[in-house]
Amino acid sequence: MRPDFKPEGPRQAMSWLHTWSGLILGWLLFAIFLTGTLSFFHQEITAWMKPELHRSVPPPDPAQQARIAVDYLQKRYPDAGSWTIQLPNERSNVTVVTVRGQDEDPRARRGGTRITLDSATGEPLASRDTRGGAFLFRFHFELYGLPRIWARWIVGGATLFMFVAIISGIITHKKIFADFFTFRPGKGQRSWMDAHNATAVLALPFHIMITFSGLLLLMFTIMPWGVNQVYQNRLQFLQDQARTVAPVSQDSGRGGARRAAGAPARLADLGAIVADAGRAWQGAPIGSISVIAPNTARAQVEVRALHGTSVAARFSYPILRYDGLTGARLPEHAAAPSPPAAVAVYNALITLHEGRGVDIALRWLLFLSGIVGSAMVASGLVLWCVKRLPQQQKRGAKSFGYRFVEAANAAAIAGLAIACAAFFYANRLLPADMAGRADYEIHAFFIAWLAALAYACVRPARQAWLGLLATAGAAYAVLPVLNPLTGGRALWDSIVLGQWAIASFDLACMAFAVLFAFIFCKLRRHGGIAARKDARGGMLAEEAA
Amino acid sequence: MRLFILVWCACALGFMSLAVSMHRHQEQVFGKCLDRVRSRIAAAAGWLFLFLGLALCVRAGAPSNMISYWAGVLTLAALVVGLCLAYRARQLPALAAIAAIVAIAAASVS
Amino acid sequence: MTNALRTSAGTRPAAPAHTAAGGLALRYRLAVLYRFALALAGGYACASVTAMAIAAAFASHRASAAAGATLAAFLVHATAFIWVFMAHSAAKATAGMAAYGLAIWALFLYAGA
Repeated sequence: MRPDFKPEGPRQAMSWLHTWSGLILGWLLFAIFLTGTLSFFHQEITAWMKPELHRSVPPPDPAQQARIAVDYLQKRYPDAGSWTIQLPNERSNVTVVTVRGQDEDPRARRGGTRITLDSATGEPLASRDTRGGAFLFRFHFELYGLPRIWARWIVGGATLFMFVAIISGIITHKKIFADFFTFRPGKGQRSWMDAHNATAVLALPFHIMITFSGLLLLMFTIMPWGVNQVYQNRLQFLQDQARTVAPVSQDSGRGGARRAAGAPARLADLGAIVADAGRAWQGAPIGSISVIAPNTARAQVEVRALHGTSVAARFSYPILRYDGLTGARLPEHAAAPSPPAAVAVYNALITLHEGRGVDIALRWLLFLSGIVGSAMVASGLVLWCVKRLPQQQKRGAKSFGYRFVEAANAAAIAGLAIACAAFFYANRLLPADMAGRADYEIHAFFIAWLAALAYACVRPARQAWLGLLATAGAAYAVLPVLNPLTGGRALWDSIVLGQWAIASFDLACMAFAVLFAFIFCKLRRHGGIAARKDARGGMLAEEAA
Repeated sequence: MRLFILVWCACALGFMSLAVSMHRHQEQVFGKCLDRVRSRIAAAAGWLFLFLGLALCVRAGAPSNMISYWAGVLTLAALVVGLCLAYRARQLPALAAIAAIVAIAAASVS
Repeated sequence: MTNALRTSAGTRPAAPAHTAAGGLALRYRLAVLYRFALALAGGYACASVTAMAIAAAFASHRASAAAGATLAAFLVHATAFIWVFMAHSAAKATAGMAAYGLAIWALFLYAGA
């Protein structure tokens, strides 16, 4: 929109819209994007944040893992209504068993008693009280400290702005194919523009997917009118959605109906069942085993695969059922028909967004794309400042608006990295038996963020960035060292023992430390803010961000 | 891992071919512009390699998952090719050779 | 700022872009605020009615209707947002949005019947 109200072409209009829809909530968007990206690995983050669980080294054979878990359950909960055993896998090095009473629904998502076991010895493990990766995950769509509905509306609004920024960015980007590989380093504003373009275009399908699916995930709060038109409530819609991918089954066993206790009977060998399932699935990893009515004549065993059938079929996992007494595999239900198109699209988008049931390779690719996306938002914010630097320098003193954006950029981008580091440091440095430590870890996160903001406000922009980058780099470099010093499994051990959940956290910390160090060195080498005149007497500014 | 290597190499070769079908990048890599025929062949080869990568993906699992996987690998391949063009443009042919050799090696290891 | 009496659209003279103090004119700021408000609120209204209309139109296929309606609704809101800022004047933007809103509302009433 031009200040003189003259009409302008679509590209100019979209350029203006892109700048402002991106900037207004840009800092919030960066926080959402980065914490969301980290949330792809929220399980691994939680694993690292519970060092008491690092001692568990799973035996390689899933059948043995199952037997160890069953031994524990037989000793302590032989009369349970149902057992659920989550085997260790590429994302978790412990076994988690859930025990439910006689009249609890064995397939309910909540409830029951959860016990974490050492996968090798079968002994229960207690861990420190921490929100773990779940804090970052919740923060990224519900923020913190706000009433839930408000937070969802704010995040929803930010997501809409992001979606508009993406669309307007595409419209305004003239030579999207010709400029696909264009990156000209060392040329100030042009380099930042190239970086912003590159990070946007190279992962464009991801950006579109993650933003649009973000809106969909909030739909029950911000756009329930479609669902409400045809359903009484969201639960009905979710049930219908599940029904479109559920295999045709005679005995659903749902509803938590009281199951009459059968006569006592010997439970089949779960190890053999697990081995059979492994063969049937040709080595695809097993996620969990449910034993319904164990040690009775009505015992049934359900083995569920770790990875979902397809992102278009939400919550649908390959399942094999076995007779609990003989261990014989029961005939498989007829495969579910593919969901209808609209439901499939909806499913695929939200399942990809959450990374639900996807294998580790796709998860890393989603994470990488998220990092690229975070870099896109960050480079856009910095570009705004770099672009306006010449005219700010002409004025003499920087305007309040410009100074605000400068400080907010440093605090939102580098400051958030420091805040996450503080969260992890608090996890290890606060005493394990301290009351309310989970909350104090979160307080450390926000205190560090505020400190970064204060620092960015009082220091000139370049010094602020240098200081914050150095702090972030140092913080992440030391974390893998702090890990074994505070009761965790050291990196070289976790790699050798195959505890990849823990190892990848340490490796990622090192990678981020290198990244921050690299940016720090680049910034320091580029010198201060120098203005020079070009041949025509106009003003140019050296890269100064 | 093997699938990833094959798909990444296919996508990287695809992007490298597409890059050298453009005058701007031809000058970066070869120091001169190529003629139109060569540019067209490079572009065609580029698209072919990219779709080869897609075909490899879709054969390997559920289509919705594997298309997403392909898109992810495209990003990683484009990043590497872009950085190579920005900082080491002259070495692009060498990178292409390495990608081709690694791909053939990965394909033969069954 | 020169006083151009005829813009390319030939509608009205160019407004002074800056105040005497050098800041942006209040009229401009209000115009920007209006467009954002229209894009947000008007767009949301159009999107909601679209959701209801599509869901009502396909009510027999419940899950598809709900999913499809919501997918369409968010696309409509985003499109409306873009439209508001592409339109050459606030009046055109408002008129276009109102026209769509009324049309889709009529569709909803027809489909719900």
